[in-house]
Amino acid sequence: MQGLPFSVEEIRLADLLAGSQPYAFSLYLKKLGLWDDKWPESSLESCGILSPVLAKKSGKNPQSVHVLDGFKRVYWASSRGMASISCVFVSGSISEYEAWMIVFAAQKHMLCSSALKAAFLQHLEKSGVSRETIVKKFMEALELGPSEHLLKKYLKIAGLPEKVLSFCHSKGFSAKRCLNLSHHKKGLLESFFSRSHSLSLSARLAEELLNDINDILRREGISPEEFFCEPEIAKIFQDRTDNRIRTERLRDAVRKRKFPVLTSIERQMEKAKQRLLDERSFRVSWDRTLENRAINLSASVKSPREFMQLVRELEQKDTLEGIRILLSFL
Amino acid sequence: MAEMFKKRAAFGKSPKISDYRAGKRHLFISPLRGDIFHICASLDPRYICCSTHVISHISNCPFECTYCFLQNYLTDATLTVVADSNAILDEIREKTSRQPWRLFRIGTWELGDSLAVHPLNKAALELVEGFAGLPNCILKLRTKSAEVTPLLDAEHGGKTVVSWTMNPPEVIRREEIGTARMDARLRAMERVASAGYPVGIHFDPMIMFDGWEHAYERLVNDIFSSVSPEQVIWISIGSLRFNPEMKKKIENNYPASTITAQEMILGDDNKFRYVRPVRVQMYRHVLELLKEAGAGICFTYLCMERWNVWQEVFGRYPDSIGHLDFLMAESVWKRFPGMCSCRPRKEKYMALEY
Ligand code: SF4
Repeated sequence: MQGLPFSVEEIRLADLLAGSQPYAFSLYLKKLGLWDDKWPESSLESCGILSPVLAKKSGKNPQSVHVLDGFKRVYWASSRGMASISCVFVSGSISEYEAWMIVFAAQKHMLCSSALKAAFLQHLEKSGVSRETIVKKFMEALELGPSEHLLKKYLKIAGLPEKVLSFCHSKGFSAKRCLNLSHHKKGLLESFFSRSHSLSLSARLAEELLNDINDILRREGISPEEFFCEPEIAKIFQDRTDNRIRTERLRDAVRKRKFPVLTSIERQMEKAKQRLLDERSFRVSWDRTLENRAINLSASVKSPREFMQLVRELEQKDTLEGIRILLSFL
Repeated sequence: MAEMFKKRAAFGKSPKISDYRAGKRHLFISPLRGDIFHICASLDPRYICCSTHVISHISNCPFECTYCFLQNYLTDATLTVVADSNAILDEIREKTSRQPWRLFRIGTWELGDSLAVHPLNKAALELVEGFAGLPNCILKLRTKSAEVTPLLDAEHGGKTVVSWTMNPPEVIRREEIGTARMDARLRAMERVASAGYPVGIHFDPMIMFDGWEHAYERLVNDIFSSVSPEQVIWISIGSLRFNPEMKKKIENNYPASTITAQEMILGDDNKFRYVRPVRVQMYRHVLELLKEAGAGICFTYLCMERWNVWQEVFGRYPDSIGHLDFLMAESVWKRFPGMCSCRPRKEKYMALEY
């Protein structure tokens, strides 16, 4: 087409798929399992490819075509056995910054989580966009502060294994939570997150479990897989049960192993409480870390009769004995 | 150790090295800027604390203890020593003379080891001789080194305590990198005791590992084969503690260390410690060993523990931080009368506000 500021050409799909694609952030999302295959499929099936793919010809090698936007169309066309696809070419002289800004604009709807923002920043860095441009232009576009220090943190997050990044994205973990995960060794993260589909995890719980398991591994000198394959732990994952119940069981098993002294004392205290202080109109609790030596009793009374009942219960021999035993543990 | 700094000692302006490890290899001799004498920063009213005072004229340390809190504390990690001992002494004299009835125990180890390198123990020497003329002050040097030679001929006037942090050789090897071996520390202890210095011993931080009971037993026996309990002014016992940020730092800086992986809980002061029953077991064990070694006469206290832990270990606890301050002063008065200018009065210490 003459007279337009851009050209439109039919490009062979085989060439597109064989060549390197430096702007393929979208393919990275596909690798993370984040392509929503349904909507393009249904709209492409019913209407076909309506808009051409946006691409750029490489300045160095006029034969290379670098797709900026439209990877889903390329893959759909290829899966349907099409030989070529229409491409609109932006000017070959646009800068790297401008090319990536186009990619950014096309993927903006996906860049809502800290995990994907981190991955996008890492793509920019790897493709040679200057640090200054990343900090000043892209971090602002991603609604992050323009800070080199912050960029370093995001790049650390981007180093998380892919499974973990997609999990963090799906759960909407904050940058701080993601960063906490990045403190762990890759092996542990991979073993843990390859099982995360069987668990019901909040960011906090994932962090707690990882921290505790990490301590157990270091203390006992075992590998993550050795830990997860131990009969007691493996059984938790094999049992057919609700994810929430499985998570609770894993949490208990990990806690018991991480805190052998604490959990054994807690068990004895619970037993004593059940034996001597059960079914009372007051509640009994204590500091589970065992640091503070105090038993807390709490009750709510709605009538003088209830109050008298409470006083009678407090005066019982069993109550005194129960309190005495509990205090002896603290 | 002095060799290490020959080409990298700086005067004038601090090179402001932010890297914790790199900072350890550059010595900066600094002039005095601002006040330097204050109460120990770990004071927390929820824990019973020995309320020692400190002179923060040393910053960073050439050693590398895996548990060292400095790795998470210093912004300028350049190993720095304030060389202006006269100005330091003037500040101390001025502040301590306002409470002539009080015995001030003053440490130089808040942000580093008191004697780790030659320029440090030269500065220490000036302080030692200066403290000989301060009536209500005791200088506390605390170290993991064995570099005591310059102290031996000093005119200390019996007003300086030289103390060592003591851990079994297994811990020194794994967790106190670059520090003097235990036998060297013991020889140094013997030498300063022979030169008339009272000795302080700190089993702090005690560290848990397989076989810790026997290791601490050997340690206590070795100490009291080198010095007699009469030469030991006080003994502190404490266990490993660090905040959550430090945990990450330790794990990053020393991945082979497993000290942070033990059964620990987070206390009200945001520090991880071994669980209370374990701590109590450790403290009781050391206390028992001390009694067996005849060191029951030495004033022994717990560092940064709650009243309930004191109760379990000693069967009693000080009423307050001021009370512990008094008990320490009273013990010094009774056992080392030359170190106190007047008899400590309980009501004065109890009225102190922290
Ligand atoms: S000797 Fe003290 S200051 Fe030096 S590294 Fe060890 S703990 Fe830190």
